[in-house]
Amino acid sequence: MKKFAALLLTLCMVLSLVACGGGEKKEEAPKAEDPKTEEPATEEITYDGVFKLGAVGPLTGASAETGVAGKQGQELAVAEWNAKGGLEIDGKHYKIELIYEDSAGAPETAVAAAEKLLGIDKVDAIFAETFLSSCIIACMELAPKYPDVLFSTIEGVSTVIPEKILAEPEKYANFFKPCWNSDTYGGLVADSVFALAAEGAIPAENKTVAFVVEDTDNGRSNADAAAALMEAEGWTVVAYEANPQGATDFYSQINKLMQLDPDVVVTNFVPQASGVAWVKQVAELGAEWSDVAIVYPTKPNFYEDSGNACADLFWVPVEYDPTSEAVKEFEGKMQDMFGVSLTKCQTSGYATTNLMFEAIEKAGTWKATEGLIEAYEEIVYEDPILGTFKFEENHTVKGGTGGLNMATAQIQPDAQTYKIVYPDYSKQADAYPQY
Amino acid sequence: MTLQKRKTSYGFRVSVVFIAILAILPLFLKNDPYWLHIGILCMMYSCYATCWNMVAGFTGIFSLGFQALSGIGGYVSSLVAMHMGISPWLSMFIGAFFAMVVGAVFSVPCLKLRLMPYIAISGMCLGEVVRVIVANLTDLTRGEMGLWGMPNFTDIGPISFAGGNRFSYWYLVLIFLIVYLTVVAKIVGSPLGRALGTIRDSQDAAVALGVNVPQTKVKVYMISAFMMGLIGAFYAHYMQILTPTSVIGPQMMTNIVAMTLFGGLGTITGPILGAFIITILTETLRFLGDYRLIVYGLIIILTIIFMRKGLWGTAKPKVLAWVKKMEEKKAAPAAK
Repeated sequence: MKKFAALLLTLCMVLSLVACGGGEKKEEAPKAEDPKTEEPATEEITYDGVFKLGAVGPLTGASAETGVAGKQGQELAVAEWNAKGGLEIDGKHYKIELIYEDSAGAPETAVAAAEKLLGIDKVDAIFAETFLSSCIIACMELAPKYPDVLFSTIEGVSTVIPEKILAEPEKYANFFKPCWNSDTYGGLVADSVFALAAEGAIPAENKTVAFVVEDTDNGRSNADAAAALMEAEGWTVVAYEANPQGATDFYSQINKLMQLDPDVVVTNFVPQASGVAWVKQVAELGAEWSDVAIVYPTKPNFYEDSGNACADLFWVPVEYDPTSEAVKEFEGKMQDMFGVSLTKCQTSGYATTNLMFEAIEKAGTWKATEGLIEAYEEIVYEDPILGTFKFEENHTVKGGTGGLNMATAQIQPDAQTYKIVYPDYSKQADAYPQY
Repeated sequence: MTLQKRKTSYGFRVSVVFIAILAILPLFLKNDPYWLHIGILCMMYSCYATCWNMVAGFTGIFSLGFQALSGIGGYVSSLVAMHMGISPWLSMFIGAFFAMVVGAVFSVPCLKLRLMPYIAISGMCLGEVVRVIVANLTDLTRGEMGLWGMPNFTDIGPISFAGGNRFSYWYLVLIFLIVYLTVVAKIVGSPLGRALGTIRDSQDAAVALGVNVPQTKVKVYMISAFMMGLIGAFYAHYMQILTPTSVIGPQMMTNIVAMTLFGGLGTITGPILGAFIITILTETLRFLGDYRLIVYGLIIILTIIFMRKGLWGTAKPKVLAWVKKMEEKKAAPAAK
């Protein structure tokens, strides 16, 4: 009887999980007859072949939010290209088939997934892994074994990746990272603080800074790069706090920092909940410092959930203008196709996939050894949302002037809007002190 | 033939057949790096689960921070190989030695605790403390940015390990598995093994029988720690990347516990069976997308409900009874 009850409870749990998973249906590609989409019926297009694109991303685990968003962007790009006839090479049309596998955020699983795509599914090009630097570094070792296949990521900020490429350029000739490195992030943070301090928007009498970041490659590498640059300019790092990803209790850290009284606190969290918790707890405890937020104000409901607590906050990097027509159009597509709000990772997934398809058409081949590597090295891809993708010698893309959009903004007193305050060429308003 | 001898003889024969299959398999998978990699992961996780099973299954020490020891082995071996130019063949033993030392430092005070929850919590603390230290020693370990640049195992004559040669790594991890199986089988069959079983069943009874409980616990913990360190070093030189989250994070421990419980805690075969089935299952269920995690969870829950001793723990008596029946059938005509 007990076993029967246990079985019954297990089945109930599974059914409820399946029911919860019903939300995934939103992610299904739109059908041809869906009036909301402009995609023509795929039956009308005659293809001459299939181009298989593989992708390995963190679809489960702590970074699933990021991985799923990237996947949505990629699926949208594939749907749009297929709708206009797929890849066109030498007058022939190839349907794009996207095969996605989960890395679960573990390097060994990422390698297994990539091996499956390369060895069993025989993909023609691959995104491996899409976001997580540790998984990307593990997957990089597959690139020399499949020289015909072009390897790309969506993001991945660790400087290890370009270091490896520069150290052994022939070995990793077919590996590209269409994203800047953490030193670029750190550079923007440091440069913004210097400029805003010079303007008086960031009072910096003691030149002291504290870092509160999540304990991930992203959090630490950004903070380390910014800290090194600021120390070189005579700033002192008075605290460096690394929290588990998803942490929401910062009371003890805020109290500690209030004792240290830094001029600037740089925070870096990917989950929105951490960012919301941070700004609310800082406001609640009445801490008075200049807060520079990395990443989390980009999250769709950040303003709504933070209330007035996020007013006057500085944040980096502003990678796109949410009021622009291109962003509004993209957000509309995301709503139609998946029923979700816009996130940065969707735009990255979309842009880097489009970049790959443009490069393939330009090269006239998807074989890395037959010209695609050269096409990647030469391409200058203008994305209407994120800016210019142009690969440097280390096979990564630079941020800032002539590269991907990067700016620093300040959330306005209404806690609903923001204005770009740095750099000068894209400035929308003068910055003002938070306190 | 006594029951014990029959068990040993049967277990030995099965092990030989199993290892022979694993030894031949790469010849058929030579051009399939995916399945070679999955096979390597299966054997690697078998080693992890075997180590934890020796502590938890045979001794009753439910230490939940055991993955920290493999992480120490991996990091120390990599750093020694990278900065001192020592061959990974040697550095992996240095890594394992460090893991054993940390295991000793942990086990001497903590294993005096008798109740399972306290041991479990102290073990979790070990895992977290090691993870935080490794994550914060960024100048040395690069923390979450990832330690890379550790060399592959150096070639042995014509056997090349360059570029993560799956074929060579398959046989290397197979040797690890054979050694681990032999060590565990020897320990379980020895007076030490009987002392471990007594400690697991009743520490008071073990004391009454003259077993030095703390010393025996520390001894088995150190042996397991050394073995964990060794396989952690293998992971490092095979995967070529270490981050605190991926090798010392709780997910690794969850996998090890799930594999051991699924296969059969306190049996030699169980953890290996569990490691193979769960690793292959998670791969073959990929076609289900996100739903595979539900199926995976369901299988584990059902196993725990209906086979509380795990797959092999439940099947073992039936298999042995069948073997006995077969042997009696064979012996019957001879007696006539």
